[in-house]
Amino acid sequence: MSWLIAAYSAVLLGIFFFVMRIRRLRRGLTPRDDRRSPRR
Amino acid sequence: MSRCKFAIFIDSMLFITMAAAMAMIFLYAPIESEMGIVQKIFYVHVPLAWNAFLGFAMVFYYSFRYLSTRNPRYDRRALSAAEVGVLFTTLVLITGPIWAKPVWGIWWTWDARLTLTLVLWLIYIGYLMLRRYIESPERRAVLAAVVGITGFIDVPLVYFAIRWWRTQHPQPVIAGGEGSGLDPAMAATLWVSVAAFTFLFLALFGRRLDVEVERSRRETERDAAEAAHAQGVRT
Repeated sequence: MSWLIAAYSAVLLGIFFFVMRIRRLRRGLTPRDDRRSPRR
Repeated sequence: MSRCKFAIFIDSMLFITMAAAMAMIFLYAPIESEMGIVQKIFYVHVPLAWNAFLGFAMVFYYSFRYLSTRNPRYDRRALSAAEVGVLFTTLVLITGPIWAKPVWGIWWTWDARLTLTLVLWLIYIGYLMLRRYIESPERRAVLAAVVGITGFIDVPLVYFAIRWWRTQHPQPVIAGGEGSGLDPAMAATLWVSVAAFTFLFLALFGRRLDVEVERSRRETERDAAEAAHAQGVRT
């Protein structure tokens, strides 16, 4: 069972990291002033 | 259908098919008699591999289109397909050994299927690295297209490796000829899982492509603004 959990977790983690990469790339495109987060 | 509506359709289908696939894998598909529950890794490993092939076939097609038209939209599509293809191949190379350890007793062996899959992964890692090293967009697109087309040679080799050579990797259970085949419940689960991972591929590909399209649009705007500024300085 632990092998199965390891394999499915690896797939989930891989997809998660790729989605985070896309989000990071998208944020990198947005000029700093346009971002929603408050500026310091 | 507009891009937004198409994305909503893909996301909806992804949600429905992935939920169905998970339910079928854990509630419907029988437990294999020799390997036990670890055999269920098969339902993600095989769809990931087939969709990685789809990704590299798209790289091949769009690279070819780029070289014949020099339209950068095809280069953007090739890049997006290559990234998702590399992600899926990485997951194939992780889930395979996790299945192999309890079943074969070893994580890895240098048989034809496994080695060629590793080579395939390295080829497209090389494709992505090459793109980072070349600054000129036209030169980068042309060289990447050449690698994308020649690298695809490895895909049929990976697919046919278990048919052409004696390998440690299991023999084909789909389109494997006489004596091969799957239990109908297992086959149905596999096909639903293949559909789910195909929608996952399309969803990730679309998201990645959107970023490239936006990047290109901003670069065009910036170049136009710089050109207008330079014109203003001269006059």
